[in-house]
Amino acid sequence: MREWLKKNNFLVRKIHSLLGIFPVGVFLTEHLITNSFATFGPEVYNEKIEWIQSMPYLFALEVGFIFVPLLFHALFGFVFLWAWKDNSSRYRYARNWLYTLQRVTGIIAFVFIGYHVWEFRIETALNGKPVDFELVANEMVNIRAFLFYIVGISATVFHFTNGIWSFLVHWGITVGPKSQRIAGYVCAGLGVALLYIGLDALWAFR
Amino acid sequence: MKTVHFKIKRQLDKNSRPFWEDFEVPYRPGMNVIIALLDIAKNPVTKSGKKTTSIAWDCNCLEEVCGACTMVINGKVRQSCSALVDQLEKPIRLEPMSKFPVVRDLKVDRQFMFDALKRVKAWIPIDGTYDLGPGPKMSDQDQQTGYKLSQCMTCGCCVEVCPQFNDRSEFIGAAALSQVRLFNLHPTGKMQKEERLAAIMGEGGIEDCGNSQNCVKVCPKEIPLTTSIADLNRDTTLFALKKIFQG
Repeated sequence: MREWLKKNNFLVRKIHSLLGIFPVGVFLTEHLITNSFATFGPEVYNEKIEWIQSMPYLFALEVGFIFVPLLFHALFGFVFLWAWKDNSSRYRYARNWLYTLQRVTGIIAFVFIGYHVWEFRIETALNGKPVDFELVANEMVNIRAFLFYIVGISATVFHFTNGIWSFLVHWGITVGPKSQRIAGYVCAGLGVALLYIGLDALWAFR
Repeated sequence: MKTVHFKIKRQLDKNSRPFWEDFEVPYRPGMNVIIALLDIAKNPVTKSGKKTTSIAWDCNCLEEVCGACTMVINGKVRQSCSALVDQLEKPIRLEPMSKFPVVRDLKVDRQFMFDALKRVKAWIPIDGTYDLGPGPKMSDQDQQTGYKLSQCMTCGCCVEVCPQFNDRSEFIGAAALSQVRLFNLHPTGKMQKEERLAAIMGEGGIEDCGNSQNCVKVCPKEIPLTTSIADLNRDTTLFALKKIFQG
């Protein structure tokens, strides 16, 4: 594995970076927007959930576009963490903080998404429980679960939008300092927008 | 007499435990850290009056173009020749760079930096069996870009501050990567462009950069290291695609 990774470092890192944006990040955006139907009330939300659950090839889409890319991204993300020796408290530059936060939020997002998928996708499927507004609302009554979701969504949105910035550098799209600075502002704006969408939807379940 | 207080991290050889010693050095207007180290060398006595061994350190040009006197001063890596005592917080703490093996005290072995240049083929092969004549002309714009990149003195500040460069990683660091950009920019050097790109696409190459961008912040020569890395990201991506679709 180690030898294979050394030999294919370039390819694995490029795929890792790409998968974070497509399909994982694209799905995250879609997921947060879909959840926002909750702000229109339980009936509208349940109707949309049923529509998604009635999609053809749903399981293949979930595996191919969510589970496999997400696990690849997470698994190699943890492998790459090995070389990380943080110095953000000594060299206090904004980018260095973002570099550290990218890794910390990645770990938080992994725990959060793991729990979230277990709770609302795997456990419900095993027990045959319906996934609907009521299920989520019952969970969010618990203040600790609600706070965990606030932290989890924030970390995930940060990891995604700051990841777009890194992706643009990593693929050689934004090269100079000016283009990287502008990309930084755009990504920050997108992050704030997605965070609002995500938390507003979460709030609707309370 | 006005004096300056120094705290110096010492280490007698590569494998021994480091320890700290305090020194009091007579103040001179406009003095730099090297002057203080020279003063200590004349009479190696600690602040408390204990006789000690003289401190080992490296220096050469004394005008911030050689990189030999690089050390960690008050927690930040920089050249000690251009570190003026008047501008430093007291007591002044001197430590060796943390990413290279310590030879003794403040002297480290930066061989890794030079090996990295060999790994990326940071040169232009011009030897032949006959006179090849003058090379192609270089545009003024490329000359300007290349001149900035050519100022790298391989001091190692960029890797000292890099969170991705350590004993758990194989990363070659920003300095060597930037030299790939320099030699690939050169009209004659361009002829080996793909060889150099291939060299940085392997283990410990450009992919190990984590974009903390500390390197560009501390580079004493203000070399646009992160621009070099992003530029090479573009070149290696295009080269990889070329290999896939033309292979």
